[in-house]
Amino acid sequence: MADIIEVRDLVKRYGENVAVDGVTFSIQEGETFGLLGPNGAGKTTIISVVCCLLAPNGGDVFVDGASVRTDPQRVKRSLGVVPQDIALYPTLTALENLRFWGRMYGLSGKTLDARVGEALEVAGLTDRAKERIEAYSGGMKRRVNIAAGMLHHPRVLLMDEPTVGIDPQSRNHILETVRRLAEAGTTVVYTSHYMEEVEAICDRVAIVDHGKVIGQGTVAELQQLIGDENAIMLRVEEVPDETLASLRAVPGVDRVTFADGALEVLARDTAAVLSPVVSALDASGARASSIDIVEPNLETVFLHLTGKSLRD
Amino acid sequence: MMRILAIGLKDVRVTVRDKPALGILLGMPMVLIFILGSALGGIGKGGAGRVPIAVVALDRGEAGTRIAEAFESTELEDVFEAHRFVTEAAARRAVERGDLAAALVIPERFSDDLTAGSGVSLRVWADPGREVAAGIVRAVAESLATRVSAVAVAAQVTGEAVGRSGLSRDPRVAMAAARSAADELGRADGLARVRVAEAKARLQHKMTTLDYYAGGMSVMFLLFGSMFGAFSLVEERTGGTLARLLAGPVSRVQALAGKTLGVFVVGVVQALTLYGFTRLLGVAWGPDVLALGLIGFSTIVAVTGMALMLSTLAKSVRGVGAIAPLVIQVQAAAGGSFFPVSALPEWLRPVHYLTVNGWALDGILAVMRGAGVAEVWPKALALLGLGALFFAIGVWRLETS
Repeated sequence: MADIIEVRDLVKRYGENVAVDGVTFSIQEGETFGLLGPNGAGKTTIISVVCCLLAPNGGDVFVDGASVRTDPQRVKRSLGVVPQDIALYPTLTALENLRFWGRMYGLSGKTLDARVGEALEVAGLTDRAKERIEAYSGGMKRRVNIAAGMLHHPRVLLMDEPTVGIDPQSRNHILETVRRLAEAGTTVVYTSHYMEEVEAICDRVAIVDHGKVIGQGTVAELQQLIGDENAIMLRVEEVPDETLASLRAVPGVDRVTFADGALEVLARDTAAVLSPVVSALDASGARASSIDIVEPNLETVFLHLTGKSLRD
Repeated sequence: MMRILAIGLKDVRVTVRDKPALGILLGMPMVLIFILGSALGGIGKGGAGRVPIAVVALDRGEAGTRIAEAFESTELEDVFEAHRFVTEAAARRAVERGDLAAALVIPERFSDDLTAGSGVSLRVWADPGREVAAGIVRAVAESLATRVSAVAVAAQVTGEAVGRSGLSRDPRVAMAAARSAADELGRADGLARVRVAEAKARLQHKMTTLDYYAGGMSVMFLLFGSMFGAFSLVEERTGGTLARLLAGPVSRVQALAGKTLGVFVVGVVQALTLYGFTRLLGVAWGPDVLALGLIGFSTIVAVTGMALMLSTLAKSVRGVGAIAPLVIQVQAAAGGSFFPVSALPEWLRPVHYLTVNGWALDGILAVMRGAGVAEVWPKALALLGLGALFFAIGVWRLETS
């Protein structure tokens, strides 16, 4: 398949702060592509450049061959955008909001009516379409937020953290919507710091940290980066620096991180290192409330690549 | 164009559903107009404080000079704030603008004609909307004219008596002359040699306090429309909907035009509603609807520009909410919404020309007094100029922020 989005050496600076630092990746048509990284990694900035809200300081982005620098209007015509914030008018009903956003994309008459009806159905809100958005739950608002971005059947749908702060039921609904869009041939660019979501719906993933892509490929390809390395995950209230140093000194331990009460120890043979790790913790007086051994996933990949947790 | 209309109409719908905004834009002015009109309706504008008047002394003779100086004397300084004008036309314009309550004109050769015994008259150009103040001017002018007239008649008669007797140095002659003068003073036609001719220029409508405050409050609350317009712009910016618009096939110009249209339409709806309400209360907005419409249109354009500028003065609705009322209230106070501009110290009055409120209220009051498009178009032009200036500042700040 042909590339529908090509990001080349993209640089975006805010004064002295480099938010995006030479990012390069491409996305094929019909693909569901994940941008995974912690908050502040640069994901939203990349999306903002792709949808022409921010001008790049270096490099370029092409959408269906059109450059964001030279032909932003053509770029925007190919895109649908689901922003991280709920960008809707709270005192208008879902129906009124969707009709408004449909008009912004040039829809009118029967086509507009049909698309709004279809979007409400996808959002599962047909029977509550005439209620004001302000009366909706967070999850329902998110669903309308997504529906507003897909009214015009865009070739590419950019979804920026679409599941932040919602209940599991709405999250599942949204993930299911993304799957259906992908089945219908829509290219989806999905940013998140929830590795489970990205693993569940994305064909390929770029891991972003400090404005750089530090790894990209399919989930399986990324997992191969850490080979057969597993993680021992422990819940511990406090771990002194000396204890972290002694854990790192345990033979067979590749990497140790601690943040927000979560101690993560990467090792190829977790069974072999488990006992000395627990002993070292005991010696320091730290008590683990839970211990899990986790097989390679995007979380451990991120840990392997950056030395820190996605939650950091 | 469809996108611009859709954005504008969406904003109107959002405003209509915002009950606090509706309360401020429509409820408060209605209540204030009603209360102020009811409480002060019988007093009339200019009923309190010193009466600002023009004195035009075209006559350099003794009688004319005496009358002019009387209005500037310490005896009358608590009553009048007299301003000397060189020409009658300039004084009349000041009255028509509403800057002064009346203009007293002492015509050329007033003293000579008086001495010669021919009929003379003083002219008073009065603002029909300030009947009480103008009435004071008329009363004082009549009193002064009567006194001057009496002296002139007495002198004339005395001279005649002395001439007839041929004993100019004899005190008895003077006594006789005085008696003759007194007799003459008792004759009505002798006192009527000096008349006060009142003119109302083109200002035919008698304005009440209710009329005044209907204009003043309407303009002030139209300005509050700019605050809600600014809120809408800031909310669009901070709530992410502006970014969403711009991420779609909507240009910055379309987005801005749509938002501007929304503020404008809300202003028109507000103005028409207040117009209808005040008509029910009996407010007379003047005979020339076209002139009123021109001033209303220009005011709403200025308000729209102000909304854009206000939206760039702060990053949050809260910030704009702190700044905008201050800007609006200062304009309302300086521009005459709370009290006539003439009540301000003289050095402060020109400030009202820097405000939307000042030009708008000047225009409305002129229309209420009977002015037409030919008289008020410069005020409309000033309002459009202010609107363009505010809009340019707003766009500049948006581009540079």
